[in-house]
Amino acid sequence: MKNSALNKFWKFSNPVLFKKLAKIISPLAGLIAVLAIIPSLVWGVFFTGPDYKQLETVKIIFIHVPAAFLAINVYLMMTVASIVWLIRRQYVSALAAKSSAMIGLIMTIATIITGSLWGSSTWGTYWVWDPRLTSFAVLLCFYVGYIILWSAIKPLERAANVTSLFCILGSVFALLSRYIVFFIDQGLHQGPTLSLDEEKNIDDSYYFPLILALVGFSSLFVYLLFVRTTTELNKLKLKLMG
Amino acid sequence: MLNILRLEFLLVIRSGSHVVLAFSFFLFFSLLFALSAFGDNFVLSNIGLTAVWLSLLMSILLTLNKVIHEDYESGILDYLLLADIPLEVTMFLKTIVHWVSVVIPLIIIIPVVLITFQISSDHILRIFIVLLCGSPSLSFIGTMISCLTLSNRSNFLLTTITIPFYFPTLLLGIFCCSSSTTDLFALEYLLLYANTLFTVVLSPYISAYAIKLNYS
Repeated sequence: MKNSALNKFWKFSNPVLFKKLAKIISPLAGLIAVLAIIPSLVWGVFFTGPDYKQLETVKIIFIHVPAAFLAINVYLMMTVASIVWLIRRQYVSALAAKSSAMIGLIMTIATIITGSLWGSSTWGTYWVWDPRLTSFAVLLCFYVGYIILWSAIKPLERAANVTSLFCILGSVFALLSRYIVFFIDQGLHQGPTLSLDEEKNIDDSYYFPLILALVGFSSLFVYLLFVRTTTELNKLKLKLMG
Repeated sequence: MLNILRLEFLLVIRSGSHVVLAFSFFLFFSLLFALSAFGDNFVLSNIGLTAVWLSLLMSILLTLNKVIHEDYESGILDYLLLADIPLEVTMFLKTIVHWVSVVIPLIIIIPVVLITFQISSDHILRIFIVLLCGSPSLSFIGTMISCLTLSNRSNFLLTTITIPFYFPTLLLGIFCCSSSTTDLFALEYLLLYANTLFTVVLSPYISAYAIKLNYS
C-alpha cells in the first residue's frame, strides 16, 4: 500500500516535488508542442488537397478541432482537480485548476473565432444558434464565471473551495444545457470528426496531420499548465513569506 | 422544522419589502418588452413567452440575496448551523419560502401579463402549469449559488455567476411554453419536470455543503 502507484502519484502534490517535476516536464512538453504543431500545420495546410465541397477552407480544421478538443477537456480536467482539492486539500490541484481556466477560456475563444470564420465561408453566416455553437457559448460563460469567482473572493482557501464547487456544478449544468439544446434542435454543424467508430472518421489524408495537431495542442496545454501552476505556487510562497 | 417555516414566513410578512419590489420589478420589466414591440401584435405574441420568463428570472435573481446573505450578515446563520435541524432541511425550507413568497405572486399575475401580449387564451392554462412546475428550479439553483458567494456578498457578482446555471431551465421552460403539444406528459414536459426535481434534490445538499465549507 505504501509504495503503490497511486501513492507515488500523490507524492507530487508536494509543491517542491511538483516544481521539480515541472522542471523536467515543461521543457519536454514545450519541445513536443513545437515539434508537433508546426509540422502538422505545414503538412495540413500545404500538403493536403482541398475538400471537394469546402475547398481550401476545410484546413481551418487543423486549429478548430484541437482547440475545441482542449476547450472541453480542460474543463473536465478542472473538474477532476476541483474534486481532488475538495477531498484531499492539496494546493497544487487547486492552483492547477485556477491556472488552466485561462488556457481553457482562450481555447474556447479560439474555437469560436475559427469556427465562425469557417462558417462564414461554408454556411454563409458567422454565427447560427446551432446546438454545438450554443454549447460553446455556454462553456464560455462557465469559464468566465469561474475566473470572475476566483478574482472576487479573497482568502485563497475559501476561493478554492467556492470555485471548486462552482466548477463541479458547472460541468453538470453545462452538460445539461448541451443535451437540452440538442434535444430542441439537431442543428447545422457536421457530425463528429474523430470518433472511435472508424467509419465516421474523415479521410486519412486529413486524419494524420489532425492527430499530430491534437498531440501538439495537448502538449502545449501541458507546457502552459506546468508553467502557470509553478508561477502560482511561487506567488503563494512569496505571499506566505510576507 | 415548522418553527423555521413559521419564522421565515413571519419575516417575509413583517419585513418583506422585497416581495413588493420583485412584483413591481416584474411588471416594469415585462412592460419594457411590451413597449419595445411598438404595439405590433405579431411581434408581441412572439416575444411574450420570452418576456415573461426573462422578467421572472430577473426578479428572482434580484431577490436572491434575501435568502441567505442577510442571515449571514446578521449572524442568524450561525444559529441555524448550530441548531438541531440539519442544515439541508433549513435550506430547503428557506428556498420553499422564497419560492412561495416571491415567485408564486408573479406566476399568479403572469396570465394577465400574457393576455396583454396577445397570447391566445387557449394556451394560458398550459403555460401557467409549465411555469408552476418549472420555476421552483430557478429558486433552488439561485439559493445554491448564493450559498457559494457568502464570502463576497456583492449582488452583481451573484447575478452574473447565477445566469449560466439558468440556461437549462430557461431553454426547457420556453420550449415547453411554446410547444404545440397539449399533452402534459409529452417528452419535453417530462424533461422539464425532471429538471425541476433534479435541482430541488441537489440544491439543499450543495447549499449546506457550501455553507459548511465557508465556515471551515
